[in-house]
Amino acid sequence: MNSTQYQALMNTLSQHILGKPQQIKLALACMLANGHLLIEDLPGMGKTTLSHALAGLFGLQFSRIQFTSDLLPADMLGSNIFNSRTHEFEFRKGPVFSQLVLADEINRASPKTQSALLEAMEEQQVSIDGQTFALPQPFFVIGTQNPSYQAGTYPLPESQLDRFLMRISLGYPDWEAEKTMLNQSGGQRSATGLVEVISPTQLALWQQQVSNVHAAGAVIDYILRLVTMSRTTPGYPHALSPRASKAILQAAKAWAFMHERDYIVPEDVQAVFEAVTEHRLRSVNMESAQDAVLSQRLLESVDPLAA
Amino acid sequence: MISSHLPIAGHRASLCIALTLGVITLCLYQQLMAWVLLLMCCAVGSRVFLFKGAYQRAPGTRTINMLALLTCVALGWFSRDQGLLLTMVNLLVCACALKLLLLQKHRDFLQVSGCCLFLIGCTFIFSQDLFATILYAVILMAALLSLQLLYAPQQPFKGHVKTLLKMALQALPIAVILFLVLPHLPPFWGMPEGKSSETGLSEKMTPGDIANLTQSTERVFTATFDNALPAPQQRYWRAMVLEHFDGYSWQVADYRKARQQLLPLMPGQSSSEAVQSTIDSPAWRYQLLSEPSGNSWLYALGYTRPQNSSTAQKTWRGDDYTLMSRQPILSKQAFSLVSYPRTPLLLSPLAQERQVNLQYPEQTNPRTREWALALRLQSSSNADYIKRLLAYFADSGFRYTLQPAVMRHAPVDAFLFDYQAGFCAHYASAMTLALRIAGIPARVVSGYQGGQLLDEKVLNVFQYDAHAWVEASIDGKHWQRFDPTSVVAASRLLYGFQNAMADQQEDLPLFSRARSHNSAMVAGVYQFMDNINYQWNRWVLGFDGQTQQDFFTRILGHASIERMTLFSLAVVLFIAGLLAFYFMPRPTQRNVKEPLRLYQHAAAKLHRVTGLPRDNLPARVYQQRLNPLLDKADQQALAQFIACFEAVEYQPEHAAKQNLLPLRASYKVLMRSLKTRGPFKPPRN
Repeated sequence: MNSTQYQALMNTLSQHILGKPQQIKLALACMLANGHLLIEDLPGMGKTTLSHALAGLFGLQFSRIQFTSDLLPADMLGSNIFNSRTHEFEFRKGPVFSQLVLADEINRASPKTQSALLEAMEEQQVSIDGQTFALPQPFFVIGTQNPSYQAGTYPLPESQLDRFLMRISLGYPDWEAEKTMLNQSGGQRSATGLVEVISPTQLALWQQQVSNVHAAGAVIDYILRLVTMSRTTPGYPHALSPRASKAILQAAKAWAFMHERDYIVPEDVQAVFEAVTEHRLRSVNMESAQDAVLSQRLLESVDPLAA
Repeated sequence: MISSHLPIAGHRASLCIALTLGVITLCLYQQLMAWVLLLMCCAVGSRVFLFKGAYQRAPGTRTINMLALLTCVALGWFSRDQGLLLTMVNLLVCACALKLLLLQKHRDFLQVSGCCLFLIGCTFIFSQDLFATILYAVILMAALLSLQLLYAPQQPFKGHVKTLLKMALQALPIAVILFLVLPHLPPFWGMPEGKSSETGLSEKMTPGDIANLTQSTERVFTATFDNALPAPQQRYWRAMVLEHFDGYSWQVADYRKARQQLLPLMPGQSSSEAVQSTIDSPAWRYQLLSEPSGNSWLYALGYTRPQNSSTAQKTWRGDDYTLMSRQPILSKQAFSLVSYPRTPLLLSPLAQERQVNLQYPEQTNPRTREWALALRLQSSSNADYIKRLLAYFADSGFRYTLQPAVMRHAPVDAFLFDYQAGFCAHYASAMTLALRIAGIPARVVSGYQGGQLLDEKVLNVFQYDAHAWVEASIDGKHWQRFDPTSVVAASRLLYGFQNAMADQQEDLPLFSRARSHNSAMVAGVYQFMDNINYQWNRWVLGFDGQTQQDFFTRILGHASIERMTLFSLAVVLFIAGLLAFYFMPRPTQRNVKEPLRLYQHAAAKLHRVTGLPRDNLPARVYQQRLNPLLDKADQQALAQFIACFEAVEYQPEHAAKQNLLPLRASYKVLMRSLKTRGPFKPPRN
């Protein structure tokens, strides 16, 4: 990765989201790994701002879908509309046909709508009335959700949480960061002020390079030990699936790439591990604040260097 | 971690221990009462259903306590007939069954498996032959398997079996050494006679105790005759004379035993030789080939003498005309003998003999005494009395059976007047007592009757030919043979044991030799198994204090105290060494590749030097944590080392290869740099 480009990217993002360098890096890694991102936090923490900023910096075509309990799949995917002039049905594309879709408050929609979106995420295409429409490339979904204990939410089932490569939460900014934010002009900053730093072509090239990052046998073994540990030790409500181990590897590759290495070290795995696995390990019914973080417990109990 | 409460459905360990207990209980079926067996079956069945999840709730503590109370009462009730040992075995099985029903906690499981191991030990009281030993070893493995399933439920089944076999192999040499070396103590308590018995001879005969006489198909001896064979009804092979009667059992009288110990020391023949005036022909000359019995008695047809001097040196004859070997027969031995069936057996001049042969306890069998005295009064002479006695056996509906009732109190009374069914020992015992009551000297002779023709001149005698009969002296000078059993089961005498049992054929085990010796293959298999079992008996079960002593002398030359001490010490050290070898932590680096090994060495050294353990930290993170604790030079060396390590471990292959040499170099630099530092000392408060 070109370090100047990367620095520019980080700087701009840090100006928009203050005091959250780790989360920004994870979000970037997620995009580089060509995965969807889930941001879970309370309202007003900057979830939307982060997605806006990412879309702007990568010059991606952006759309936002505000999920509500009465949102129907057609509202999101689009529908066939009768054109009275040509006497034919025409497909009117819905907001999902964008390169970066911000699915805001995804857990407020009905399960039917949720699964329609998640299907599109997985298949990278939309089927309506027997016709299949490819989604634009690259295609990212940034889902945001409120913690499920808030009223009027349908928590995403485990099978659908699995589709998101990472889940991050932003959390409250620290004292200094919030002070700076308040001192800035009214605290208001719109995505329109963003300039494209990286072109979508460049992004595609980077994604290509990420998948070429070398993963040594020792690292693969480490990942395998981690997932096996989650499967054989009691106390993990959901063991890590093979999809999860693929996700860990992909995210770790992106992380290594961001640190200008063409090989993974165990530290890369550890850095992305919580974001990639915590939402897969944790049962929906578990209180998020409950006891130690499961992924952390796994990391502590597995030796990255064992033969 | 082991939670103290066990799961119920699908808990493999519980199922395994239940099935093991079921099998071990079935192995003990002869010793257990029917209701105890039933209780165990119920317990095992309930475990199976609980395992399958067919129902969820195990019986509660209160139910089990009630059952336990009932069981105790029942056991107490039946214990009078069972004797102490059997009651204890039954108690143990009951306890296991009840605990199995109440398998709730980890602790319960350990108790049940402990009891299960103890039960496996108990089975050895009742049978110790090779096949039983192998079977019990397999059951023992199953019991250990259940423990494995308890402690490592996640491990695949194959892994369990592998671990078990490995541990068994490790234990085997230690077991063998301990078997050879540990002192073989005499038993702490005597074994009470079991309810079942096998045909065969022993120095004590208690017919009332035996409820089930099984036919042992072991061969006892083979007799090869030079001339004509004796007729079947003449083939009474005398082995022992049982003269002492305590109301229940017949055994060899004490004065005989004393003389038996004394006589072999005297040169020449026994004292009765002088009295023997005439020896009548005809004579039966034969070669007796005895199977190893561990005893010294031999088998003689009436008045018998050795044919040649070598046999004469090996044997001696008691004044009860029994023939003994001077050494216990531990391997097959041949004796050349000649018997004179017409020669009368004389009463020895010893006063004791007459006295002992009239002795009987007057209180034990009162009905018999009354009846016998009355019968004697009705009879005109002793001969007439004997005729009437035999007629009584013939006419009063007596029956020959191998499954008589147990007669513990007043056994002869019970046999004569209540049950009227029994085998030779019952008949001989009853008749001898009746004769003694009437003042006729009488004794029980045990030995073998009949035999099976192998060809024209060869006779095989098996344990199931064991017999007991009566010798009485009507005239006060000669012993005369009477066989009350023949009156009841004449066919036994004429055609041998097998024909007599023809109508009881279903009592014989399916593949018993007594049934199917016409099949050559089955006979061959039998011979093979007999041989294996014999070797087992000889070398393992027969390994007692004496053989152990011989073993020591053979390897030590001369078993002096110093040598024995040194030897014991060596054995203890050897076992300790074996154990240390098994339990020594295997160096984990053995299969580890070089870079990782270097890193682990370095990390261990850094831990010693700084007091900061590596834990499960990746290399870089560990380095960052270490840095504040190290000085500049160490930091640099460490950074170089970590960089090389990372390159070797994680970079693509060509880059990794290039960094192997630098890694070794940086390792040396780092170790040298760290050498100057002493070990970490924790700060004292």
